Amino acid sequence: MLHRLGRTEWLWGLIFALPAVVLIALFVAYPVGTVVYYGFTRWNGLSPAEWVGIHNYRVLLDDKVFRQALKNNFLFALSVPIQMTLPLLLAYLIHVRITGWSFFRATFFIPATIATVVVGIVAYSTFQVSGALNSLLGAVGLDSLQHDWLSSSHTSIPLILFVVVWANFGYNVLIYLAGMSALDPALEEAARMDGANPWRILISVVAPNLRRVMELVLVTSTVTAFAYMFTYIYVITNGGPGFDTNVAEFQIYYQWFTNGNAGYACAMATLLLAITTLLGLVQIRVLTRRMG
Amino acid sequence: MRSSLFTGWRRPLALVAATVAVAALAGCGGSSSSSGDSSSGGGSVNTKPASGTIDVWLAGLFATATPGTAYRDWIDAQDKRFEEAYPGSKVNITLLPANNDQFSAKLQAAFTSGQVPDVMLIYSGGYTTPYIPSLLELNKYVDANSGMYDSISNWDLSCADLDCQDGNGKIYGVPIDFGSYGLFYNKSMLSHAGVSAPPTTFDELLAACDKLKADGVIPIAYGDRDGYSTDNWVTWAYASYFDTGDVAKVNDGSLKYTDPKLVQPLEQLTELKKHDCVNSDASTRENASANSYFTSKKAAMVQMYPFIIADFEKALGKDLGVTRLPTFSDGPLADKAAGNSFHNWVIPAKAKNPDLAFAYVKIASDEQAGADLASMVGSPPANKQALDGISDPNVKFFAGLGSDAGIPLLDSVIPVNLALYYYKQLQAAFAGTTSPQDAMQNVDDERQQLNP
Repeated sequence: MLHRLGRTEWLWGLIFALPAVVLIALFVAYPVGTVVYYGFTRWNGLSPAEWVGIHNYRVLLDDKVFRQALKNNFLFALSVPIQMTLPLLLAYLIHVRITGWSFFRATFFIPATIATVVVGIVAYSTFQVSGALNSLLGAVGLDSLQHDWLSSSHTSIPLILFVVVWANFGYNVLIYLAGMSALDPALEEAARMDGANPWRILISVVAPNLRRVMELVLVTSTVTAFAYMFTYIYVITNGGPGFDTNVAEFQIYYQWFTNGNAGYACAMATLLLAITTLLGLVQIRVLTRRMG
Repeated sequence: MRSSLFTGWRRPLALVAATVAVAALAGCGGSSSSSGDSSSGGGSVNTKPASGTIDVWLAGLFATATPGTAYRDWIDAQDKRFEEAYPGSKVNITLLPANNDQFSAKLQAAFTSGQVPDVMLIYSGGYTTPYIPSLLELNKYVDANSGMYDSISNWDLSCADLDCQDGNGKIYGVPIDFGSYGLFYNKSMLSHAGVSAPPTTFDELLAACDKLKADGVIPIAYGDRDGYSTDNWVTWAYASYFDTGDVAKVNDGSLKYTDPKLVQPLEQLTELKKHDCVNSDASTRENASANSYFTSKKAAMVQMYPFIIADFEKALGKDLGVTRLPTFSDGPLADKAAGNSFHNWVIPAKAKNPDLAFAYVKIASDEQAGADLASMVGSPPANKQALDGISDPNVKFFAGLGSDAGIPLLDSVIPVNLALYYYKQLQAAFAGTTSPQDAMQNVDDERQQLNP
């Protein structure tokens, strides 16, 4: 198309694009490039960096703690299908204005307005031995189920996963509602006249037309599972017991700020970026094909 | 083909890459232009510097020096003395995170950015020496103040290679205290449960635990969310297994963490959990928070350092007792204590007013400061004259441990980054999610790749 543009149009195009290009170069390309570079160095954040080639990545292969952290990230990524479907259902119920829809609309976003660290503190208080969960179990005569829920990854990881779903639920509902409000009402009306029930309309009409919105929810939920877990983990379990509930982000922080291995931390961050990008791409590709 | 392929992937690629990159990596960028900035300490010393404002950061246990606490009373008293000695001066206090992970992160960021205070009170040993490249060498200041070196004890953990060589080694900190651990107990609760005397051996501890459980109380308050309780117990237990010089051998790698001398004490300690001798949330409750079980009289015993004496005396009054922690075995140093200086004053190499900073350090580590430390906080001071004047029996008990120390505390000696990993492994072992042997093997493995 470029050759069809006149010289003046081309120049104006460049001028209009320049601010965006500069901002992206400054705030995305430069930081990412810097991190990728330092991933090939031995650097403590203080002294000059020393080029070590792929050494950091070789060490990463044998790093049991980082492997455990990545494994936990994948476990947390199990929340993605839940984060995609449950908010879609609630958004649709509000969209079709079921009884009590205004109550749902007024309250569903509340968890998303609470700071993540506060969510973490509430979760920690709820799941600790003397917390609300055990008190509730005791109150209904289920004393035998009372447990130190955060002392083992077998119970703490599912609970953290639940907390993440709860905290992000409202945000995803909001995105779906925005998408639904932009749909042509004639599509749903036509399906209704053809005898489709609400469930069929959601599956066959609404969801396929929300493909782009679902892509967004998919990507943000996946990114959350891999790159936004730090606060939850730090506040709720501090990565423990041992490193059992550790996640990659936590380990990046730990290696840089605690161990002073900034170069190694950058190698971890680069690997995490590669994994998350690849996963996001594959998920979107699959979703796009399935939904036509 | 190229066009359709590109169209299919372009938008998702941009979306994913931009989101992840900014989220996960923005903080990683930085400059390598800053360099190690250790000062050799050359040049002259002004022992009577002009007044001015100094910024003081408090870490270690003093990170909890919020207004109203004994720690704050002590630091306020020293600030007042400094401001009287240097009229027109002002001291700005900043509390660093009490959590050691967060403390390390804060310090690393401060040194990286060059945004450092004039003076810091931080843990000695392995928590000080890794930062030597960014600290001021203090020899010229100590030498310029005649008699200062001899008036203070427990220097070694404040020097390069953890050896001050009687003042000839490179000094980077001025110690203020002596720290160890004791078994605090509630006399009434022990008596009510039929425990006639506090336990002196590990077997007696388990026996006392059974009686206290039968009496309906928590035998031992334990806060191990960060691994600190297990570390504090096990570092004392090493004295029952180690020989002289073994701590240094662990530090230099010639004695492995998987050696029975290190694994067996941890295995013994996990018996406390298996016998339900500790609060049920031991593995998820923070160390300091677990003290509330003891001060609220829900728990009969707790293992703690002396810095908590003032709070315990306030909560329990005459019911408070303190004794040596039980021996765990019959090694050559089993009747000795484990302990060393906990805190030392350090001055960053980039401090804006190092002469005035040292003037502050001198005041905050002298005889009066030591006497205040003992009376207000409950810690035996490093200042020798102040040590002689202690009257509180509980503080005297810890001062006695100081003169009887057989080994330093292991986690005071090893580098802070290894210590933090070690705590997590100890926590996992006590929680039962890994075996003591595997936990120590992990520490050995980590030591190999501590600085990949």
